[in-house]
Amino acid sequence: MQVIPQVLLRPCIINMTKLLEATNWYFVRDGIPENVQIERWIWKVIYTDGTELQQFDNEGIFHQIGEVQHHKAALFILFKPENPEIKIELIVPQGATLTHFYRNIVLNALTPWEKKHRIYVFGYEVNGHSHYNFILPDDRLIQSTSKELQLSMQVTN
Amino acid sequence: MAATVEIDEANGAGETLTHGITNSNWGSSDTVNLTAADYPITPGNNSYEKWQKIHVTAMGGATKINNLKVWRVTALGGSAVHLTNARTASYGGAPTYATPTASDSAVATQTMPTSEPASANLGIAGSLTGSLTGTGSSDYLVHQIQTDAGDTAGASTTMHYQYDEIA
Repeated sequence: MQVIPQVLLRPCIINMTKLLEATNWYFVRDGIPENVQIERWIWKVIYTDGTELQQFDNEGIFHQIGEVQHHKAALFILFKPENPEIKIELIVPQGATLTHFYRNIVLNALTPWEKKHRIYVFGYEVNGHSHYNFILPDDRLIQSTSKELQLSMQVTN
Repeated sequence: MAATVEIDEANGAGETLTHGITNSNWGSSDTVNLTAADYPITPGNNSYEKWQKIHVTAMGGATKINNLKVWRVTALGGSAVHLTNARTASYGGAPTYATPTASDSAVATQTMPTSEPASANLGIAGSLTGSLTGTGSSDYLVHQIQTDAGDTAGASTTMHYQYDEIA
């Protein structure tokens, strides 16, 4: 039985009111645009100079985590696009490399009871230390120093 | 959209690949999307092997797909076992396709996990740390049910799978 070091939290609500201005987003791969569907939680990074980069920006461009300039990141924010006031802030330690990915769990695959779950994972690695946050489908948040958490028991069939 | 994933299955001597299969029923025939009642497995016999892949058909803005895990849930009847090539250690690399057999599989030789593995157990390009950076497929997932003469008819089990998508 795996012991999951975890802290269960609910996202805090603080002031962040601006809704997204675009309604469609695309990413250009090898010169060909790919449509990218908005996610339930999206990220924004605030740099030390006050500028920012948003995953789904207001010009309809989708940005990958690889585009982030990690060395000048000050704050990494995950928020709900339909209600940006619901957000989770991560203060980025100096020298940290940010991580963001989706963990997709498909239960009862290829049956009438198949269910797909998407977990939003974000965090950082710095000086041999790692910190990861996992936003579950019901918006519970689990925090861990390992990204190899076994989360399938945390989602429902 | 997010990355689009389907399960493909290969059958026959010619490696006939069927994309986007609709079920993974085992039976006494090397047939894709089979109806279990049409191909029952006599207790004491094996199912035909299943040779399946996780196929990413669109990246949907993602950079990389990796960390593939497969496992099953619910009990098999009697002492039947579910064997596979998927494993978290001593992974044998990408298996070369061979016509599915109902003899004891030479590829599916380890018990399929019945809970989520602690780390990837199905490889990409022959490695558990492999990744897809564009459309493509995992290594073959080879699995087989091996039954015992005293097993109960009608048992079923379901498969789960998982992958990480870096975007």
